[in-house]
Amino acid sequence: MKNETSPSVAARAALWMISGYRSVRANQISPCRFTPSCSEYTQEAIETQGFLRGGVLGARRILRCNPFGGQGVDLVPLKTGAKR
Amino acid sequence: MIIANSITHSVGQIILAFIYSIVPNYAVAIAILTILIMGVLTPLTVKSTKSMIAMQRLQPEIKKLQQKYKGAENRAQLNEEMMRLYKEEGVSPAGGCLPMFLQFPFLIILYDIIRGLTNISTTKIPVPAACHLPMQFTHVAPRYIPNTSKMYCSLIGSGGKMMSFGIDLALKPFSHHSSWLAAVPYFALVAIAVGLQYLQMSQMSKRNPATQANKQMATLQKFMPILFAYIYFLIPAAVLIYMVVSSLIRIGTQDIIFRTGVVTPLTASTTAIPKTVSTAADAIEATATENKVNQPAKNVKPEIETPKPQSNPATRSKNKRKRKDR
Repeated sequence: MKNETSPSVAARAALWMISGYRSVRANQISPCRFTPSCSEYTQEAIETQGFLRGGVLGARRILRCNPFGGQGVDLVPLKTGAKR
Repeated sequence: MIIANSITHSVGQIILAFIYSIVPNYAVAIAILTILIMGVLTPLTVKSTKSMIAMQRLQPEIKKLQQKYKGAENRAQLNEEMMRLYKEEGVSPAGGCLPMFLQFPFLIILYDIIRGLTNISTTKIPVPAACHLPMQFTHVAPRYIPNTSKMYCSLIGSGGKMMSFGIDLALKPFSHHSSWLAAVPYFALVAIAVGLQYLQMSQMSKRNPATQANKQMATLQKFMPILFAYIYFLIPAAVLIYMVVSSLIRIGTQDIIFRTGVVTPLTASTTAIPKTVSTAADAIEATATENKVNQPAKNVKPEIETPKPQSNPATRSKNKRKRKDR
């Protein structure tokens, strides 16, 4: 599932920030509409598809996570040409 | 983005200048503006808090479903099961992650308005005649507010200071103060803002049963106020007034919604639970007792063979360890 190459500096920084956010918010109740939550989703997206693609996917997910957005299961899309 | 920015600026400027024309005190005017903003936001907050707590209650069951239908190929099935669960429990998400992020642009706009109000121009600009001030030209050039407003004139009259209750709200805690003593109110304001923020956060996490399972996270969270304090040291006291008042309103709202039972707090259902429940029958019993106390009867399921774990506090406590909170 992981990218063959190790994550870039930017990706690692982003992942570090997301894990920081997640630990700080750990005991708060999640406002997220989706499964997995936006932070889990972004984390996975960056891990599997790198900083840029993953970051864009994460940002788009957060934009979808609004009172007029969808709900339910929303998994990170497959990288084109890759097998999950 | 630019259009949105100028709209919010004009709305902010008109409202703030209007409030000031009625109550000529910067701190009170900002507090009233905050109350107006929160008045619009609170109904939405109540709605989303309600749904957030309802969803949180279903978390153990959702995690179970996730375990059961792991992998992308089971995605449709998982979605279907989750929708069924939501429907059964009458839960639908009302908020989302985006509204949480939208707080920040708002804070930046307010910060910008405050900075704009105390803007100092490098060139001399004429003082409007409507201000009835002795000088004809000034370097003080408040931005974003109409130059005929009372606020504009008093900003010019005070030389760009936002004096309120003896302190200049345009200054930051680390700005240059006339004396050591003069800086004290600013640091007190930061302390109040941080304290209230912390109170608000703990008010919520106290209601979350995951807190007990997440001791390490709870410790980490204690450092959160330090981060807030850092931000608060960098912003003018006027913005801190907004932070303090909005935190107070949030704390009040949360307290009222829990107290009046608009939302049944999660803790109410976890405190009465025995730590280990050995049999399904025990679990059902616990659920039934709990339901009598604070839940509608629809969650009581008499069949012992198929207990409903999502509304079942026993299963919830078992699942606590597994749960990854967000």
